[in-house]
Amino acid sequence: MTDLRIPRGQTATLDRVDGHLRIGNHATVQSSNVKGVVVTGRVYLEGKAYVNGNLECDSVESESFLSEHREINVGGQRARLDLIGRYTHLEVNGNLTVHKQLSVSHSVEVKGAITASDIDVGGKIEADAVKCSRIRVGGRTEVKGMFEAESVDVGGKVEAGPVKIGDLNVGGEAEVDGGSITGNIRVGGRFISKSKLEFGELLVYGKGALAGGSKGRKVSAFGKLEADGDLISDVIEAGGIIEIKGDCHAQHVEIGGKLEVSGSLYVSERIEGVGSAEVEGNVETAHLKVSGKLEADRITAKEDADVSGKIEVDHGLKAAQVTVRSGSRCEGVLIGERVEVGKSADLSYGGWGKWGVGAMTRVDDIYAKEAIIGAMSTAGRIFANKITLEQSSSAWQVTYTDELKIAQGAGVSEQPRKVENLPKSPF
Amino acid sequence: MGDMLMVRSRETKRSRTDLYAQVLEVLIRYPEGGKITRVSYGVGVPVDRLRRILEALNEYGLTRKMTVDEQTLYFSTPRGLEFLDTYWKMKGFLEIFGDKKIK
Repeated sequence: MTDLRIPRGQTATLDRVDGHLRIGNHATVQSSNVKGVVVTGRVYLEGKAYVNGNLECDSVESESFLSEHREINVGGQRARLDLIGRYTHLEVNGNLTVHKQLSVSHSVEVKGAITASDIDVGGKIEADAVKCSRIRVGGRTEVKGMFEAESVDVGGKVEAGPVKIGDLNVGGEAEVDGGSITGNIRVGGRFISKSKLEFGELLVYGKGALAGGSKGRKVSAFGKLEADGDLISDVIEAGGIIEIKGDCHAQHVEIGGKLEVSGSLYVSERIEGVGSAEVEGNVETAHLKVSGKLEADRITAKEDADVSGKIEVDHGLKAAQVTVRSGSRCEGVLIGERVEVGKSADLSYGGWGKWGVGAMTRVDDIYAKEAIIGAMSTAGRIFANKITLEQSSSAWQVTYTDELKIAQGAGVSEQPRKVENLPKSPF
Repeated sequence: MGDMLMVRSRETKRSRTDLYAQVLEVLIRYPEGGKITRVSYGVGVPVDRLRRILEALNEYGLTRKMTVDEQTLYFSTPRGLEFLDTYWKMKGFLEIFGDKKIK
């Protein structure tokens, strides 16, 4: 083992160092061949270091130079003297391969690719490509090409090309060019994926933007999330605003803020929430429970739809069991085995709000096996086998096959009609 | 050119609260304790200015200063993490409000 030190400001031409290499401040390592320089031991930086060519070593380490300020007193005049320590910076004009840890207190700039086990940089890292198991950067990470890591932890900003990452944790902003982030993505400020991304759990506090066709396990948006095309995610939690410019496929959707879908919304299990959802196309789900504002072209719930608030459906809402809570306004036909209108608000589910108790519940036409119009509720035309109009409820027209109950104080504008067969529902 | 300058100045101008959050974001990445130089590189402020910021954060109970092996290290406190969570949530709200103009 022969250790080597390149003195401050000098240039050394090397091909191999069997031992450790210590590089003085502003010193340069010049590779004597195209393969680059191989250091079997550690590379130690005393300040700024430059490498012309590729560099392969066991580890890279650097010193910290504390800056200080001192008060000096000259003839009664006080002044502050700042002693700014030099910072460690590594610049490689080729590829950098580090078998163990790459630890530089200030910055690393590599023209080619970085391959390392662990990367720990205080300020900024720049490279054409990065492949490592774990990377921790206090400030910024800029990778023009592929960025592969099991864990990425950056305090400031990440800008990268295509990624293949396990967990991504960024304090400020992250902008990637698609790829896959299989674990958790936690971004404080903004997260942007310019191309299709496969992700695990995405949590965006500020603003998120995903390219169309992105697919993941869970999306939670505290601020605003935009998908520029179709989005597939097992769970979608819209705490703030989620805008999807395409179709959306999910298992479970929870709306606390606002969900806007310019295509259709397909949810295999449940849609619930107290926010508002505007879907230009159709909504298909098993269970629907919303108490805000819901707009869609057509809504189909295989099991039940429990709605309160304002519901606007151009071509109707269909479910096995439809419940429209007290004080709601529903525009569009309701279709179900059992349709109940004006049921007391589900207080456990934020059913009060402006759709409060005491307000009239209004719905349009109903097609059902059994229709119950509760107190303070009014319906348009009702086509059902069995119809019950409770006290102080009303309907414009009722057509039934089996049974009609009209409580005292309830009213029907036209003479009730008993028929053999009911007309078919619109869908 | 004018636009670029505007963007740059807007990017570089950080409020005190932004700086506090950024310092904490860097500190939480050093659970073993952050050295002031490393934190200054991460946040992008000179050490003397960072020292004043850290003093303020210590006073507010958002960070803790400890000397380990004659080395001064800074740590985020649970209150610091609480601040950070609130800060990003508030930023999230502002992201939503930013789209709407008051008529």
